[in-house]
Amino acid sequence: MSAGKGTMMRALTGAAALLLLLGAAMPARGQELSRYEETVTLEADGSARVRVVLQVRRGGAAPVLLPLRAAPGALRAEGIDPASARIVHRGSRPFIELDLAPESSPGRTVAVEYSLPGYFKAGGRPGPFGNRKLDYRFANVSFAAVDRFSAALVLPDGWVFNAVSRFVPEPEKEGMVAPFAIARAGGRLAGRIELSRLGLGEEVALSCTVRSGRRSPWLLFALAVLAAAWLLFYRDVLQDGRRAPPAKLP
Amino acid sequence: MADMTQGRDAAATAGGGLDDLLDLDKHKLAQVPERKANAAERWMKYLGLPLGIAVFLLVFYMPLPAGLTASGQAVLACFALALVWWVCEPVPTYLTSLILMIALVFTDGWDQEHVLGVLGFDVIWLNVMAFVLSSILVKTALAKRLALNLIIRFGHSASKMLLAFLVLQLCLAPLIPATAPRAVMTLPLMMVVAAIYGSTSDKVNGFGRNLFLQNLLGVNIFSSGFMTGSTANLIAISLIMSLSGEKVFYTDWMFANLPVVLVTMLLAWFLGPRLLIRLKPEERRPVIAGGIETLKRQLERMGKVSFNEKKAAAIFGLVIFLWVTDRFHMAWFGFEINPVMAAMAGAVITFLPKVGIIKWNEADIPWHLMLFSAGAYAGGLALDNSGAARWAIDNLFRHLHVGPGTNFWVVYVIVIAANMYAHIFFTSKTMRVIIMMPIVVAVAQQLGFPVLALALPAAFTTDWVITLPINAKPNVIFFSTGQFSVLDNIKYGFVVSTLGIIILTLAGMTWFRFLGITP
Repeated sequence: MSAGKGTMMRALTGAAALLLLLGAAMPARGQELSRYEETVTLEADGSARVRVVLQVRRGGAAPVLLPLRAAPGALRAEGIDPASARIVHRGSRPFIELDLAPESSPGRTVAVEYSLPGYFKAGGRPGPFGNRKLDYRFANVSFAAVDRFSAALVLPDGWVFNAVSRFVPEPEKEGMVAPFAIARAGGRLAGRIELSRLGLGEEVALSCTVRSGRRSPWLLFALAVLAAAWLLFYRDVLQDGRRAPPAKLP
Repeated sequence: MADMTQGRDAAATAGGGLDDLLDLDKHKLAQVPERKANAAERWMKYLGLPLGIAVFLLVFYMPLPAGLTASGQAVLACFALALVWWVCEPVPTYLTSLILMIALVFTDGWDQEHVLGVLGFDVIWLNVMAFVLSSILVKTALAKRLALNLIIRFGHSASKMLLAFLVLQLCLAPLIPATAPRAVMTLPLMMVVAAIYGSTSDKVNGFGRNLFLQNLLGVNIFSSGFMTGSTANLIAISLIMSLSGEKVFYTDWMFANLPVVLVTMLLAWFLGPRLLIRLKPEERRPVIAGGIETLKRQLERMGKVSFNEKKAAAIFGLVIFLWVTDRFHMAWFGFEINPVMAAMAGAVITFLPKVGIIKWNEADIPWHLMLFSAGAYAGGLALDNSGAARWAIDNLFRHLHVGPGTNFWVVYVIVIAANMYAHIFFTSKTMRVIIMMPIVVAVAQQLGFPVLALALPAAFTTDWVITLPINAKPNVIFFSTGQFSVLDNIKYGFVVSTLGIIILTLAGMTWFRFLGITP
């Protein structure tokens, strides 16, 4: 019962937050992107360097808001006047606000880049098996439509994805797979999410565990010893059983 | 001829007479059969354990390939170890399953909650309930009566006897869509017939091995003759229809694949006792002194059908009726009674005081088999859940370099072979279909071939789960009798699977083309 209440509370809170974000972004409605591409490059200390590339299909007069999980350090912008790219707060939530002039919009490419400390909890005691939780979430609160959405989570050098526990949107039918794939990029593993379309208010989320790719050698030694012991002490397996008395069933 | 008579007499005497031979209480399934291994099997036992460990270490410690998660890699390593151990049997199969379940949790392949939850799956319940039902056939001697009738009619030669069982399985396939109930229904008959031919769990001969393996083939492969032969067939068709928009009707499936199935099974029936597991002359006839006449006398001695036998037949009949009429349940009851609930209803009546037939202690339930199944399912589900199975299949197709310009028949053979042999690494048909079918549809669409030309023949391989005891429920059930070894199963399964690929390819070039399925 309490679990059900908790789930309902979370759902209501989530819906309220989404409405708030949508409300904040209302002036930007009607803007369309042909491409939204986000690359999150994670470091072993838990920080991340994030680069977002937007390709505009139809612009609008109102500024675009990109939600952030925390206030970043310096913001670097390409393809846009630096004064038109800034960090603002709506309530306690930080956003990147971009003024995309409508007359120059079609086909225009804009990129922003920033660093975020503590993107995931890299320090302290890890969870079981050395796993650490990593979450990614993007809610489209600005654009009427994003034709092609992609996001890449590039893990620190030597780290691996352990397991994916949740992916939004879930595959609609049995037999379909979540549009998430792990590939190697420049020696690092990167989890890439690709969606053909993301409408206003739609969300992409990924929950997974990551950890160092090094495995403990103890298991290797233990199993090697076990195999050797078997070969040494269980040679009687090779006997045909004629010498031994026949086994009796109880 | 003299040798043959001598052999029969010896077997009958060694078995302690006909009554002893037919007393199935002496060959309880709950007891793990102790089979005497031959020299090759002993070497496999000895080397299998370190080999399994070596394979595990190789997969577990290799650099993580792109596309695979670390938990997927752990599951692959654990499953590979279990597969080697199930085949080589350095430790009993149920113990390998338990080790696999522990290994999955300890290597972070799958969490404990899911691993332990497998024992509550409906497939395990179905097995338990089906064995309860099977026990009433044994306890009331109804199985013995039916088997004696069968053998008196067809049992003059091993060949006819094997064929009679295949005909029986063919008749049951379109009626009962679940393979496990079909296996359990025929199991007691097979045990009695095998015993009459001198094959018991502690003294197996060629006839017993052939009988159980041919029925294993029959239960599984005959299912693929009918679209409703298994749930996995229906899932395959719904995937084809939803992913490609093509429609397939019941008769399309049956007209195309039933001839393929019949030809394959006839070939397997002919080749099995002659090539795969050769029957010795003394194994070709019942090993009862006095032959069929003795069996006739035995049947007469059993007298009229007893009240308990009638009760057993009624309970079994009720369950079979519910299995057969599942498509009408909604109209009759307003809900569908699935095979597990039907079997459970039968088991409840079986145990009811005064009304029922047996008490709990008389039910012959092989729990080691349930643990074996649970481990196999846990491994298979973990492969699916971690994405390791899909990663392996994707990589297989990528490495085969199938691309634009590749000849249709090359692609056809690759698709059929990949779908056919993939069953060796899966413990669930449904899972295999869900993973394979979208890939086959995608291959057809990318290369510009008609989707049905590749997807439908690929779907025809769904029920060919015949190479290892872990591949399907009937295999596990038949394996529990100890009448054949894993190696026997591999030999039969691999040869018949390969035969299936050849026949499906020939059918693709001729029969399927005539029907308009292939170009």
